[in-house]
Amino acid sequence: MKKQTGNNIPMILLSLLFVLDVFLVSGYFYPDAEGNFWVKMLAFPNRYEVQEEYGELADENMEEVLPSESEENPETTGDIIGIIEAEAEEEQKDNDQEKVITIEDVQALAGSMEISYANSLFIGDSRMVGIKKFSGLEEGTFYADTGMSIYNVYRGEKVEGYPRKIKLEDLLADADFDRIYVMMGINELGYHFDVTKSHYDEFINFLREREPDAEIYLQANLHVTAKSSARDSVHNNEGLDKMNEMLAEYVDGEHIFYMDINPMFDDENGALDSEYTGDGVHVKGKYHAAWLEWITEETAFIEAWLALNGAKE
Amino acid sequence: MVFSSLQFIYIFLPVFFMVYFLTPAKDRNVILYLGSLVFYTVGVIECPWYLLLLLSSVLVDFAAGLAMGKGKKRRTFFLIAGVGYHLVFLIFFKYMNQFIPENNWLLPAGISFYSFQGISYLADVYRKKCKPEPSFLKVATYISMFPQLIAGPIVTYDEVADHLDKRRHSKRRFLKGMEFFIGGLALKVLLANPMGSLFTELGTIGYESVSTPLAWMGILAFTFQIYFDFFGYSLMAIGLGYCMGFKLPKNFNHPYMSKTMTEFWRRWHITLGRWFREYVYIPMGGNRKGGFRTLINLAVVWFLTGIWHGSSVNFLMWAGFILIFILLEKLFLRKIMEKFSLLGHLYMFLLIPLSWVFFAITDFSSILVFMGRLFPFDGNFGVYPGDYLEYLGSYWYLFIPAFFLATPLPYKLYGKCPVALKVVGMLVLLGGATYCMFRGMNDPFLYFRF
Repeated sequence: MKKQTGNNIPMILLSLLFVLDVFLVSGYFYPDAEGNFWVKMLAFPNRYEVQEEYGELADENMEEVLPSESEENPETTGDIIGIIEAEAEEEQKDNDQEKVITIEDVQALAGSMEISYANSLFIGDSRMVGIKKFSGLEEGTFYADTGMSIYNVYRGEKVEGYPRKIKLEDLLADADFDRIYVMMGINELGYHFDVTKSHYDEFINFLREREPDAEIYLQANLHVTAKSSARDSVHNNEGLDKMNEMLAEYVDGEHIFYMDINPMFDDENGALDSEYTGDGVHVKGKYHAAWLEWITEETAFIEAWLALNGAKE
Repeated sequence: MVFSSLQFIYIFLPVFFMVYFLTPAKDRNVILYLGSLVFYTVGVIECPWYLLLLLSSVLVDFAAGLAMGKGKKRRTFFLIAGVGYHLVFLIFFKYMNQFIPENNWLLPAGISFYSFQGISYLADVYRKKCKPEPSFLKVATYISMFPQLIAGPIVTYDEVADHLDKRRHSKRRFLKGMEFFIGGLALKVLLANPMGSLFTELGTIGYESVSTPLAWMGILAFTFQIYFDFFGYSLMAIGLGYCMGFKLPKNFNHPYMSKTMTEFWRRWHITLGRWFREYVYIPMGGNRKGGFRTLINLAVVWFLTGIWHGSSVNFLMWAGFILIFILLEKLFLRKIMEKFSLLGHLYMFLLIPLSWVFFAITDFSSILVFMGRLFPFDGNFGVYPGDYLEYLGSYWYLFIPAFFLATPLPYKLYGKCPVALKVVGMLVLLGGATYCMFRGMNDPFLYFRF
């Protein structure tokens, strides 16, 4: 009896010492960016706990990279309207007798356009898969899968009409596309932003080289709900907004355009409205028809503008 | 740490077992205890306070146990103090999220299980079912040993007391333990995990857009997922215990073969049902105080079972659903179902997945929507025609083994296999499971793929 109780004190002290060690060790790992990553790998994902610490670190980093004012980018049809107005003003100033294109002209033409997706290519992640499955779209080629990102987009996917998985470059060589819609960005959030950006530069060039006549329509990444965003130190709306701003910068007004669906599904705080989603991340099946309709309208507007501009020259 | 992870299987276990088996037998409890602390710490490294909570729980159990020794005064006080200590933290962590919704704190890993083990120890000492343990190490090892720390089985002290003193280690036991471990791992990683994505996808589509056949398929998939996940985990725990000479109690006994709800709850999560029976139902009088009191006692037990599983209302609905059928069975249904076993099986085949609807979906209005899909009295059979065919095409190869493995048959067949075949089978399963875990881990941010 005495021997056993004699053993108790050392055991208890040892346990307390262990706990103390753990506190020291975990406190030491915190500030070190590399160390954090390793600890995260070993640990069960206590994202909820991590958010508080990492959230601050992430914010610090983001302040350096985010431009303080967003630059003038012709990012949506809204801004194309801006271009139209600016050009109209210039025309007026030059006192040119040639016809000036107005917004109404573009809208009139767009309204009469029939958009066919027969020669369109859709590249993207699970949100793009959602459009494939639920929008009711029956034409077009989809090169999309859950988890797609510019880090794995070249590897190959199962595409309808091809017997085996086909690589993106082979697909682009095999068929001619008039439009390429791209939606990728959320799966890249875990990687270093600058590395992602340089990969995206490569990707855009890749597409432009192989389909020089096609229009590229970059789609903004869909927001997640406020709740999902708060829980995740990586896949949240701040990161998505940053990614979307990067995408908007590629617009050149000739071949590369940008479309932002978010105003349609957002709540008043710029997060995905929980009414539209079941899991906080994807829009419910039944809303995809409206999404497709919106894409069609935006596409028509941009193509109408391009047509009128081309005719003018 | 999660059992079904590469770091646990290929880093922690080899290192732990090496140290464990190199240590002389009399000191192995120390290694097991410290190893379990390391195991737990890695799991809660972001919040070391939870480690302190575990350790303090163990200390409280140890001290209160001694204080209730034979002939000591104020035994009831110490019982209440000890149990109260556990309940305060358990209730706080489990239900705080309900009342402070902005709080994102994660539940301390395993608290539902180790608190219940502590309470069972204190109650057993109080009613003199076992003697208070004078060795801190033994109490600590009993509560914190890693095979059962995070997710059960809920072990009573007398089940391991002898083994804590002296247990046999042999190559045979170790290999048999690994057999259980690999079997459980395969069930979890190769069957439960992939199966789980079917029901999750239905949530993504939106329940209102899911066709009736697909809704049934989805809840059936969830039924299999939750079973093989938990059953697999329990097998892994038992296997690890056996490697070290412990005989941990069985937690599942082919529950989907039951003919009544009453029988189901003697075959599902057996150690939890046992805990509620031993420490709540029977002390309250069980069924020995007349019909009305039995009803009350059952209601209390099921209320507690419901809130033990979760803090949101759907868990209470789940418990209520089960309670209704248990009462109906007590009244008259049981005799019918047991007499006509085919009827009993059909009855369960309908009822078990239905009960899981309340478990799988937390939001009440979504439950109503989903029920509407299961029983489309409004005549609307589905939005996307043929959607269930598409999913059937993707999941049929999981449903077939799932049905099969829910029966006792494959396990009996396995028992009769020659050793060589067993070894090959186990290696194949381990390889397959490892590959799946590895692929999941390719992406350092594996937890979400969008």
